[in-house]
Amino acid sequence: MEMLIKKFGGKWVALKPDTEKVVASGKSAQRVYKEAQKKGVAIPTLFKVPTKYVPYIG
Amino acid sequence: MHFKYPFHIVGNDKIPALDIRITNKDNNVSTNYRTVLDSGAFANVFHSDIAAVLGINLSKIKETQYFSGVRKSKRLIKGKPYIVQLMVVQKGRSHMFDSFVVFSDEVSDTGFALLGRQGFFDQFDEVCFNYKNNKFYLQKD
Repeated sequence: MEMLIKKFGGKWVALKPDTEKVVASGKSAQRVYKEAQKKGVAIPTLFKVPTKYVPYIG
Repeated sequence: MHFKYPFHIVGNDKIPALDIRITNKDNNVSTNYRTVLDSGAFANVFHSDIAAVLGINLSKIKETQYFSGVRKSKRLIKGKPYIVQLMVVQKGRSHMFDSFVVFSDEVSDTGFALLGRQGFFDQFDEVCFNYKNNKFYLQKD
């Protein structure tokens, strides 16, 4: 996840399921989802990557 | 059924993140979504962009769900409640259930989608964090 934050912080990414492999990224979740499907990933894993990692309480 | 996951390690923190499948029962559109288990969250809180992916028109939902965090602030966070189908899948095993979700566009840019007490923790017999061994478990009898 650290790599994703460094490279894609603030963006939506589509991951190949059960992996950390990014198949599409961008600002629009819908576009990223469709782009991943065009690349053959029927149901990608969407992740809004935090802009940076800040310890969280809640 | 027993589901076991490793913590995601970021810096010196361990995050109980898991990928869950969400389905809009009205049109059967599904996506997987990376989320974090949060026993401090009253319910599941997902980014409103996910609703758009699923074809859910939040502007048609009249009810608004308000919630707050630990920060000292008079302003409440708001979102739109909806019932979706969630599914946990691992190694050929799955547990699927209808779930209460709040979709919000006020989620922090440094935050994660949250799986909370209503709509997730209440769907399992045990949710166990074994921090020392870097694992967390979901048990459904």
